[in-house]
Amino acid sequence: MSEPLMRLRDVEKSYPLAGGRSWVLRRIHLDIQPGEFVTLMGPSGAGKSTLLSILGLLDAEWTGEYWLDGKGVHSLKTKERAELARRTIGFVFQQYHLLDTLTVAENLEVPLSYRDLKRSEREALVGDMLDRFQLVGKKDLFPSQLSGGQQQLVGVARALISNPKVLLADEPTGNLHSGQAKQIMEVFQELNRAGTTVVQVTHSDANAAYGHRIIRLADGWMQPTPAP
Amino acid sequence: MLSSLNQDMRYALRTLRGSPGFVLAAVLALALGIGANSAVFSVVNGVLLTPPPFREPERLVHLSNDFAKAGIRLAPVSMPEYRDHQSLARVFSSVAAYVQGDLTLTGRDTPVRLGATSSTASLFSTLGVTPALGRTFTEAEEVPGRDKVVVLTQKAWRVYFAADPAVLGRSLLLDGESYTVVGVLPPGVAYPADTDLYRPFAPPPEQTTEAQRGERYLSMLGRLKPGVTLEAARQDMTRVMALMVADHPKYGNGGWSIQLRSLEDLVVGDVRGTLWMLLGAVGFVLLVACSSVANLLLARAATRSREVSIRAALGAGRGRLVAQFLTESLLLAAAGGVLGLLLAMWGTDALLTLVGESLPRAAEVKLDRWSLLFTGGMSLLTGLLFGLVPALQSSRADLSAAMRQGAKGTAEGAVKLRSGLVVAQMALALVLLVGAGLFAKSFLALRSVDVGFTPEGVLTGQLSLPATRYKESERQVAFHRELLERIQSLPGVESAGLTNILPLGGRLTRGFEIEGRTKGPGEVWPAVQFRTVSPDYLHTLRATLREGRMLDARDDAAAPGAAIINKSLADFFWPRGDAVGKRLRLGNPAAAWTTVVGVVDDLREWGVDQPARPAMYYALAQFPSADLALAVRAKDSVRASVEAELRAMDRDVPMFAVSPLSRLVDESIGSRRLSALLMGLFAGVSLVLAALGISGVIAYAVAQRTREMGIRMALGAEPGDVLRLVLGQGMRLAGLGVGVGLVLSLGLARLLGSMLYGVTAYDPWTFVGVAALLSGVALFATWLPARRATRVDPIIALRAE
Ligand SMILES: Nc1ncnc2c1ncn2[C@@H]1O[C@H](COP(=O)(O)OP(=O)(O)OP(=O)(O)O)[C@@H](O)[C@H]1O
Ligand SMILES: [Mg+2]
Repeated sequence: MSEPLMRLRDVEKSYPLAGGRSWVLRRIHLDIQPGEFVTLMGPSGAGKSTLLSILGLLDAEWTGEYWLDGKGVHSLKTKERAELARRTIGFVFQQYHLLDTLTVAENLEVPLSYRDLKRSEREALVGDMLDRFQLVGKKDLFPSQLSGGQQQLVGVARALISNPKVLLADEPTGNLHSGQAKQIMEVFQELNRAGTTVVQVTHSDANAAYGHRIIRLADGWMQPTPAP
Repeated sequence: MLSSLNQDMRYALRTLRGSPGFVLAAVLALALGIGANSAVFSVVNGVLLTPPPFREPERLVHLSNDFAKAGIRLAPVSMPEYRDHQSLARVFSSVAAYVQGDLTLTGRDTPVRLGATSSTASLFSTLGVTPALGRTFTEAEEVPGRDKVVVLTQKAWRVYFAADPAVLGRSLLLDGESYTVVGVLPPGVAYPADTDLYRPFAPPPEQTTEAQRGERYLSMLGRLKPGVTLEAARQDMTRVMALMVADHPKYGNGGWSIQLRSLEDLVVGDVRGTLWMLLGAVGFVLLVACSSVANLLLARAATRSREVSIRAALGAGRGRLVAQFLTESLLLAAAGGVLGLLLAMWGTDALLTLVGESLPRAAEVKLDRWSLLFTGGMSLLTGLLFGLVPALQSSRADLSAAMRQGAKGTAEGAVKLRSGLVVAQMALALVLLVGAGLFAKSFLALRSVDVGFTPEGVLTGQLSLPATRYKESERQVAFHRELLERIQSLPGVESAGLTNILPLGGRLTRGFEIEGRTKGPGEVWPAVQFRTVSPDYLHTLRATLREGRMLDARDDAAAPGAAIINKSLADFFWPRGDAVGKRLRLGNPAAAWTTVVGVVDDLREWGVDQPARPAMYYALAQFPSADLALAVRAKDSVRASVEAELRAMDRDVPMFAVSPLSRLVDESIGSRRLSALLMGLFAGVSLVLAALGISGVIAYAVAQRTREMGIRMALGAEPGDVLRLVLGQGMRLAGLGVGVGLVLSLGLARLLGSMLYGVTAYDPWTFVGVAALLSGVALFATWLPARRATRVDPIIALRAE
């Protein structure tokens, strides 16, 4: 088998608490192969979002070892970590987190503005993305003028625009009704088939069914995976 | 209505008590603004707005002679001219003439020097002043022998005679002669300034003859007939001048004119522009302070939008909400006003100390009811000004919108408003900085002017030998010689000299002839300043000798006349540099010829900002004078020992107006220093307030944009990117403010033109430097809160919702 895209060994996270520590993640051992579609599940407060933040390099406060795309994240400097994240990670959020004051097209351009690209290249990429997600007609609208499903579609497009290796999605359909959810899941599936690794957090079994594998968390511990 | 006001008040007090930091910041900013305004206003009010204690003062005009071609401006009039004006002019209901002088009051423990104005009896009726006690003098007393009467000013009466009404009829020993007090003037009347007493102007008959037409030493005032305008009076005096020119060949073929200025112009004309400019500038400071407080209030209102929507939901109308907010801001303004008043009391005193002698009518400056009214009005107005905007803004909170989207909608509006306020603050601060920069440059230019002498280390004082005991010039000369010998032998004294007029001490021109030169037709010779000085005087001032020699002990009464001239005079008549050895003679044909023995570089004797004029320095031993100024160059303070020597020689000759020469020079540019200092202060305060303003708005905006920063960081933004984003926002505001400010400054700079020296009102360096300074400060003020944006934790920022 090839080298895993993400490899976690003994990853732990805790917050200081009066008189001790409050553990959020315990001894996480996890390998995710390139091209996998993984679903994180578990009760509220289990640590799913926390784990996703660590995977996405938003969170640097943890112990243990984590290799992403062959790089030991645990030994990288802040700058290198940011660089690695820009190259490999795309995020989709439950609350979409679009910028209210920017149009759809401008929202798509935000991640590109932090990468070394010429203006024409940025415009081309935005154009591609608008095409691919059939958002051309909406490109000059503001987020408040879109439905929830459309907003999340923009959120996904934005996550993909810099061509990441992994798409991380934290309850991407949490605010959507089932029809819209299905549409987003089909997009994920398509992406995954085209080669993008996907890690999603969800409470929905229907959503989980789109993935290859389910990882269950409870109280910060990974649960043994039942045989399929 | 009343009960709701009462309730608003109680509620406002309670809310304000809950946020002492905010209250402190707001009240301080307001107190600074209001206090500075009240202080400057009390000066403007006292000097410019308070009418002088004369009847219908707007009808009073000052007359002077002008002969532009010879550089003669605002020259006094002669006795024959005064008589001509009196009889020929048709526009005056009365005219008066006066000469300023001094008299020494003796027969007391210590002699005191009193400002004594000799005036025609008509001065009092012309001014429209009636005495508080006794009478003023009469025309019958304008005759030598009957002229030994004095009228005291109220101030002199209080200071020197303990306001004793029995002073009437008492005789005083003035310069050794006995005078009778006949009257005391009402409070505030002292014209010209520094007058302690008036005595009749009673020249001996030979000094009133036609031959005296060229001896101009009288100041002249006229009271216009009712309804006569200044313009009409000018035309009438042009007619009078033409008549005089026709009658007297002395005026040559024209060029002389009679200048009329309103008394007001004469007294305060020089400072009027500066004072109004300062009031305008300090008004800007208040505007900046108001926007600061409005900004604070807006920030507070944003945190209270929930409270507002709940109140509105419970039925509060918009009016009630506005009233609630306004009550708070008016309370703040009132507190600021009270504190400001205290600042103003202190500030007014500080201002008066700063300007020293250079401000006319300084005695009128006080925090009177007008200043109190001004302060009160100012506080009310500022309360409304900075309170209304946030009050309307926060009461506008659309109810359903507020409920739906929380504080977000109103917050965005508030950011816009606050940004607008910051732009305004930046613009106003820039205008003040430009002003301060221009005045500072002027002041520095003045400080680096070579005045031709070295004032530092020179002590000066005036002395006057009583005419009774020092009538003969031999006695005067002997006194001078002994005094200088005694002073020169004092420890610490480097050198000492005497002169009739010190630098900055006034003007005295004399007519003169040059041997072998006649005035060609139409040729105009400059007016020449006349000084008579002891041998060491010019050396004591460290004047630079160009050619020839200085005066010395050889040039005594028995020796042939010798004089030094300055470079301006030498260049005019002897441009080839051969002035030394030439001979001059003062106007009187009976006078002996005097030889030019040396040429000195010009001394700027008329003010640092005034060009030097042609001048001649005669030998004191050959042209003695009873009224003299002493200049002593010494390493340490020798005032006490000099005064002791003087006392030892004659205890009835006091030294008065004692002052370091450097102070006289400083005072001559006092109003410019005041402008530079106050503008600097105003600009500094506004700069700080503007910096705090932009810092506050950016901090607020950063707080509002936490989520956005989190998203951007999750999408790959690095701290540098976020920092740039926030700095960009701040610099856009600053840039806009600088732009607006530059336009405003360019518009206003024109008004400063005449108050500047050695720098144009559009000095590009000042504009560029000030814009750079303001941008730099804004950048720093933005950077502080911007750093916070880089520390946003995306996980927390994205979770909070
Ligand atoms: N700043 C913090 N300080 C202390 N504890 C925290 C902090 N942030 C998160 N936690 C705790 O970490 C635990 C895991 O939170 P996390 O958001 O990862 O849960 P989750 O599995 O995503 O839950 P949900 O399904 O509700 O989104 C929770 O118990 C939470 O209270
Ligand atoms: Mg979660």
